[in-house]
Amino acid sequence: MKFNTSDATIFQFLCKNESINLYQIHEETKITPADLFFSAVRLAELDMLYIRREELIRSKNFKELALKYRWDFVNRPKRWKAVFLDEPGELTEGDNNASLDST
Amino acid sequence: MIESSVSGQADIEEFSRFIKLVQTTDWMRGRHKQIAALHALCTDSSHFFILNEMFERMVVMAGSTFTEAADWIANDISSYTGNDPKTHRIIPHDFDDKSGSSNALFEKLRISFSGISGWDSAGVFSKNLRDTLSDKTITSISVVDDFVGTGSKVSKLLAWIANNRDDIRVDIISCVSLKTGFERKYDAPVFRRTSAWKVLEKAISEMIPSEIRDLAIQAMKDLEDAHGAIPESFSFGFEQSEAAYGALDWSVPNNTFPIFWKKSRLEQSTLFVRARR
Repeated sequence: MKFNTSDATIFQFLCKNESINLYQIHEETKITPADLFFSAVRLAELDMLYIRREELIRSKNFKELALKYRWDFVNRPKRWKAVFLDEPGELTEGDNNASLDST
Repeated sequence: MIESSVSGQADIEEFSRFIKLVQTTDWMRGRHKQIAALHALCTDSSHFFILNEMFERMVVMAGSTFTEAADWIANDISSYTGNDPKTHRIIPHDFDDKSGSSNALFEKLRISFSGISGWDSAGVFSKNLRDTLSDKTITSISVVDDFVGTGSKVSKLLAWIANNRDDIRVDIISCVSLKTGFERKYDAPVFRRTSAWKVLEKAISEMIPSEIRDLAIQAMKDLEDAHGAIPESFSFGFEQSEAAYGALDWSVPNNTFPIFWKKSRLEQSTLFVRARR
């Protein structure tokens, strides 16, 4: 898998904030809601992101989503930060699994 | 790799509503690129609003929806008073000529009819209308399609049938019909009834509350302008049908809002596909 601008933007926000709010990212970057949502779900399915209700958006409707995913970011923030700031947009799935294993 | 797009500002209510819709609507999953391309047309929150309205109202023939529609049709035809499997035939037929729906509908209906006593034989179906009309033991037929639009093609078909055989009775059955086509007064003597699993009203002018209707109409016009490749004659769908209808496995009719099927100058992929004539 390769990462797109939306994936990288989500991680850049995580690097700065430790939690994300997709609406805030949309406000600041104007990346489409569809791109942000599908990026978040894809990253969560890869165990790279845990989407909490209050992190996804300031809304009370997303309990189910919050229960589905695991968040590795808290445990491995520095590694992810380094990877994404150094090489945005051109990582492979194998590269990222390796970085998860090594942290 | 899917490139990311940028768009105008959605307000938090519409952003939140979109997230909820995409989580709960089966057909929207796997259509990331196409939905993002529509979002990229947006320049303010009213545009996200009208897209959300359409996503919410859209009837899309695929998966469980298609099964439910086919089961409903099987029950409707088999339980209609006077329909006898010995003298009645079911004919899947593309009113839209090349939509490609009739084979899928035929296969689906066979499954739906398989559990209905007396109607579970392949013999109750016919793929050839002309042959069926020439069989004098057949006294009534159900012509079935996934979609009926304004009814103009149905009207022509009924006239053709009446011209070939005026003593047969014809039912027009569909998964989805526009109200215009459903309620149309067909004057061919062979016509008996219309029946549809879902009847669609115009998705904006008949469905959006009057206090925000003008805003919604303007928002859709803005999206058509931003799209940049929609002829005036197809604005809001053929004859301004305003159909919130889609299909994943075959061509959609031109009654559907064109931003969902007409290729823009920049985008090669549309939410739904419409076959070229």
